[in-house]
Amino acid sequence: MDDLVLWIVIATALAFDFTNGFHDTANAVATSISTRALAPRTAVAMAAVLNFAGAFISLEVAATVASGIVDAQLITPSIVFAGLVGAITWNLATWYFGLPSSSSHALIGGVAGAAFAAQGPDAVFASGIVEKVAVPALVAPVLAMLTAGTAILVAYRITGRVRPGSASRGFRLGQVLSGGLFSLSHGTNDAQKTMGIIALALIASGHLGAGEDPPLWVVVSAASAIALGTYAGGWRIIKTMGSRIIKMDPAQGFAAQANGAAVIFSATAVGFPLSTTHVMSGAVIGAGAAKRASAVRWGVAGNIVVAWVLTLPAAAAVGAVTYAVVWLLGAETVGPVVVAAVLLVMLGYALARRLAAGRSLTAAG
Amino acid sequence: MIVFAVTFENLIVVAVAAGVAGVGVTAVFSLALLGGARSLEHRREGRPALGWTILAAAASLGVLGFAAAGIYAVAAL
Repeated sequence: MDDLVLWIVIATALAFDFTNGFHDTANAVATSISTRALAPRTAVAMAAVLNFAGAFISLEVAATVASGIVDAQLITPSIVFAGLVGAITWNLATWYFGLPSSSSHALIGGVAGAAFAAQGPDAVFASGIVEKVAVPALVAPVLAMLTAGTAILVAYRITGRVRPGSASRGFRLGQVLSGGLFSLSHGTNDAQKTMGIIALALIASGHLGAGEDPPLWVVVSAASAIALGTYAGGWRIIKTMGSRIIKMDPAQGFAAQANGAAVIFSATAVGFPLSTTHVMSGAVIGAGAAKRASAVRWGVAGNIVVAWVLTLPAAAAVGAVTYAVVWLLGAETVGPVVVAAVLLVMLGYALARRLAAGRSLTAAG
Repeated sequence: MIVFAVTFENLIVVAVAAGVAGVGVTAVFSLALLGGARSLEHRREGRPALGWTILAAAASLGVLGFAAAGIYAVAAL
């Protein structure tokens, strides 16, 4: 039974990874699609392949996510399961409303909420929340906004006397390259969070020693899940990121993507857990505001910031409630099985209704 | 428990590296565009274009260098 619960946790972690890719596709492809640098399906296919490849580049972030936020000694597979349910719920809710929010913060919130409900306040490190959520949440969008804003001014200055048609064609080509780099950095950064969470479950169940790298099958399955999710494409968020925050030209799209990738690569290199969503949203706003502050739809940007602020507490609340239900049913035995079965039935029902209504699974309805 | 603390030093490293890489790659790519466009125009008009062609080629190499440095930085650590 213990192993059954562990496999349920791993399957749920991969489901979260899928929603992470699906939710964050916009970060990599929205600007390219918006400026017509790439056709939508080509963009998501390229992003999926590069996300897969990126997952194999480094294990640095996996090491940071698996520790520091909660006390690994007190974590059980059921807590990890409840946390993942909280994160998946928040990802689906924000996708429904077309809001680009952080999957990483949803994951951290869900696990912290479940750990708090299960073990009390001692299981959650407040310093970890501050260091890995609060500080990066402030730093990521501001840094990306400043660098993208500076970069677009430099780009306009240099290419100001190039014929607009030539410049646009060139920047569209640049977007293909920078979008590719961003996808690679996303795979490097985000697939590892799922690897980290699976590693946490394996450590909690005694299948992996603390401090050991995740085994290869964890790396391959996490890379595959995020790539499949990316290919599915969260079109509602792509629309928000690509055209609802600013109406961008190819130069802005290039500056946003190149600077987003630069911030993510820099952060990943030192194990600094930034949210790719915060980075890309900040870069898009920076590239728009540097040209003209009124070009940014600040109402949309404000809604996005509200979603960011709510991510951690909302995912934590769902994680805590899920753990309570799992605990009532039997935390280490039937609880996760029953909750997973109920969630699968609900998800299947929602998808069946969507298909019956003649809509695709992921396109905006 | 904390494997990688989010220290002030890390923050500064990320800010400087991201600023240099992001603004740098955008500037270098823009120079490649400028060089390429000017080189084409000059050749079409029968004027000397070697300088612009060299600028375009050097800047293109710079873009590739930035991309390679980014991937290397992540892979090496």
